[in-house]
Amino acid sequence: MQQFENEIIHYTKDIWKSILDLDVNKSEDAFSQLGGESILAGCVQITGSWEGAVALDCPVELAKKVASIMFQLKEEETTTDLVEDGLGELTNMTGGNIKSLLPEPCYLSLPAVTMTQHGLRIPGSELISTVTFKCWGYNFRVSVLKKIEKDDE
Amino acid sequence: MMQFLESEIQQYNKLVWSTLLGFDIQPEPGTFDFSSEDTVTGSVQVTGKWNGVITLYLPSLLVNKITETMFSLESGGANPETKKDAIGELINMIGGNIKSILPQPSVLSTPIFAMEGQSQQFPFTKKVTQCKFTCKDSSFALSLYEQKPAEKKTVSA
Repeated sequence: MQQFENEIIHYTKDIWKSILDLDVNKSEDAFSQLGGESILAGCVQITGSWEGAVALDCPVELAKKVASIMFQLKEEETTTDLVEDGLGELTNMTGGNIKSLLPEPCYLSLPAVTMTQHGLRIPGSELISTVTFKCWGYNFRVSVLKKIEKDDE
Repeated sequence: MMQFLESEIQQYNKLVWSTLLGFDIQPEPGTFDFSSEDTVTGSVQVTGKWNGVITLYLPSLLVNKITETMFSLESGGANPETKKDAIGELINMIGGNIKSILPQPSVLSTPIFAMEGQSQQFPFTKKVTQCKFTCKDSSFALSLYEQKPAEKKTVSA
């Protein structure tokens, strides 16, 4: 069992249900892109007594569906800004919940959203936990990364 | 019209490029138009009394020159990892200097990157400053994004 795995599953299911009314389930599949699709990667960074980041990697098509539900629009009406806002909001909520498990004081950054072919990479950080979920046939991934302390390098 | 902390940003940026790389940079008028296909973006976030993002937009050619200079590499010797290390060091130093003139207390995050072909956005922020510079015949930009006041979007809970 990875650190925070149960909490990631619990918070993610809870957030997607309460905000989007969607049931998401942990997938045993490794996170992979279908046919080279683009990934929208949301990230919030945590600074303070614990330093690291929480990332949400989501296929663009799923992020569009999320935005259309979140902002009550038809999918074709969702703009790039709204898609990024939607994923930013989900990342922020996920990060906020994970932060509550960490030693205080900790501070959450604003979300950053990156369009990428590979998922977001944060140099100087190590992956401590990642969970893949399935929603509408799409895989998305929630990861927790911890800053590598200089002494550990 | 002078933008938020414009002259301080220009001054600190010039100082960091000079001390870290020995490069002379000059402010340029106008806006910075770029293609994400040929641009590397490095950002650090500031959290605390002031919340926002400091972002450096650099063309690939200049990223190579920065990396080669910082790590004493031969021409063409930069790879994606060394580029990230170099840009991370640069934005971290610039961010640290700018943070010192922002309301305290505030803390600086680890740098994050968007390499060529990727794009990076910061929802819930507005751009408050963009300074354009030129260095070794390439233009680049440094921008500040500040968190917008809480705005109520329609979210179905």
